[in-house]
Amino acid sequence: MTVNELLHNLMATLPELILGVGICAVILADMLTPAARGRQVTAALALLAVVWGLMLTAATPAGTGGDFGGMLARDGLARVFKLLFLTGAASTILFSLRSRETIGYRQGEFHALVLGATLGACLLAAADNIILLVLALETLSISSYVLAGYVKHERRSAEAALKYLLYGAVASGIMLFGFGYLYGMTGTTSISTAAAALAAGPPNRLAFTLALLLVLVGFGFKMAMVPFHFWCPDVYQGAPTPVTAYLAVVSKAAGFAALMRVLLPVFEAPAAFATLTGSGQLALLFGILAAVTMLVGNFIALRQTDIKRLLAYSSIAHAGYLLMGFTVFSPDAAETILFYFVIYLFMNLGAFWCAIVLIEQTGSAELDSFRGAAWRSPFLGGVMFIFLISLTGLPPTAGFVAKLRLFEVVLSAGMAGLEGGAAAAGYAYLALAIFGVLNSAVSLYYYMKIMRAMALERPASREPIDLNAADRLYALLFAVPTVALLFFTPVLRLVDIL
Amino acid sequence: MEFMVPGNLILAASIFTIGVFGILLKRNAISIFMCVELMFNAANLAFITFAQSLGRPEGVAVFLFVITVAAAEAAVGLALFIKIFNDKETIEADTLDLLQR
Repeated sequence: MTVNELLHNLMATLPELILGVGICAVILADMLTPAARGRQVTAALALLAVVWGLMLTAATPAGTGGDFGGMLARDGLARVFKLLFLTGAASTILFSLRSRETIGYRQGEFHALVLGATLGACLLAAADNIILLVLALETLSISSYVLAGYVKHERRSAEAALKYLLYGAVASGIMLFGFGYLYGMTGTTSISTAAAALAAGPPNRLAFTLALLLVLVGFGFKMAMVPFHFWCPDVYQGAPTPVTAYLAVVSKAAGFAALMRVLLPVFEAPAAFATLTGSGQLALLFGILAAVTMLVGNFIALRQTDIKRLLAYSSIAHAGYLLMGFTVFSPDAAETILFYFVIYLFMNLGAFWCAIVLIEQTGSAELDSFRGAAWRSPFLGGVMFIFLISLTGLPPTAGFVAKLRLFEVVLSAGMAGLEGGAAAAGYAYLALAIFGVLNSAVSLYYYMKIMRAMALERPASREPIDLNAADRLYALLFAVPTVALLFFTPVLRLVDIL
Repeated sequence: MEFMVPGNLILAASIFTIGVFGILLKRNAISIFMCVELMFNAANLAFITFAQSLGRPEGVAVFLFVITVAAAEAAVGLALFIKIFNDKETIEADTLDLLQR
């Protein structure tokens, strides 16, 4: 590698480098500033690093090839996910300023950990090599374990972190073992090279499927996919709320990014892998996982009374909807998954923003304590309503378009199957799409349960909820895209990666 | 050293299985963590065996990184164990019930 090449590669990874420098800067600033002002200073530095990285990533168009000997891909998949992660990280830092849960601890460490986790996520989105993929995933995971247990004096926070750590460590152990065997079968750690080798000469189907399933455990844990979701409600409930928002958006998206990275060659050219994916067997696996994940997420959410636990099950259900996209291996499906994630980012962060304001105001995460909150602040009630109907997938919000596109992809695959003579596969796709629609209908009940508590029940007190200008601005930052992305075609161009 | 490959892989699979069973059967958080270390090392053994038989160096690199990752994870884990033990005087996984409904 010549000096020029090295410089070129370093320039291409500038957003990640900025995050890395940001971590050091935040820790230094934390030591040098007085404790009373440390919170604002470190948040400003962390925000600067994230927003700078975000603007650089947005300004760089996706390319082909890779940096550092093919370790980091420069493609659209990496770019879109990096934009999502950085936006999520910026929101988490803003949330941490609003929430009082993390006050009383050195905030610098909190912001440094958010930057560290985001650095891991960004590298993960671009990783085209097993070594880097594992390292990036662990950087994200280990930072998240500490973040989940950040509020040390709160026993539930420590317990959440320990559960997260135990489940996470087991999942990464299983994933690593799977990668070990995949490495043995393909003879390379590079994912794109391995894909080419697999397309040329498929190995033993059984051994390959087994190894792939082991790897899927690791990713499924991050995505909160059933049956690897057990940590999710407990950790979401016990972690400080800004961290919960981070886990629900960035950490979940990172799991999907890793899965899409591994399956990207299949999405690009499904025909080349026909022997390996079997006649629809891989699609069937994802179809079953999607159906079970939706079912478990939605039905357990029905009887939750804690808003953080409810949003945890809602995020499991959304993982199920997203998995439906993995049953259809076409470029169209990959774009739909990314599109869904862009919308999911705004509506979910918005819902968490409202949750943080409500928890700050009432001092409790129980739905019961939010009684009449919409009357105490009509603005808060209004924006929460927008986020919740968008999460349900009703018009006129972007959540509707996202779900519509997802169901449409599955339905058209079903129609193609029926017309092409593959009746069983066709009916399976149709059944999955109908199942998804029914599940969305179920989700309306528990999302509206929040609204019912906020708007239809007798207020706990008449005292207005005070929202300052910054609060309103943040809420609008999420609410406007949640509605406006409905009509916004540039998002379609952004996610047009294949 | 070709002849050692099947033996090593069987050994790796056995260590992995012992780890999985340990996780399912043990209730003490430290024991669970030790079983996770077994699984990590089973993966390491597989990586090194394949690196040896393929004559390629990447597997050894993975092994070095995995050891580092496992150490980092253990550091966070032990800190949490101490915290929980100070509160509860036990780190049985069954007693972590503050968050269950």
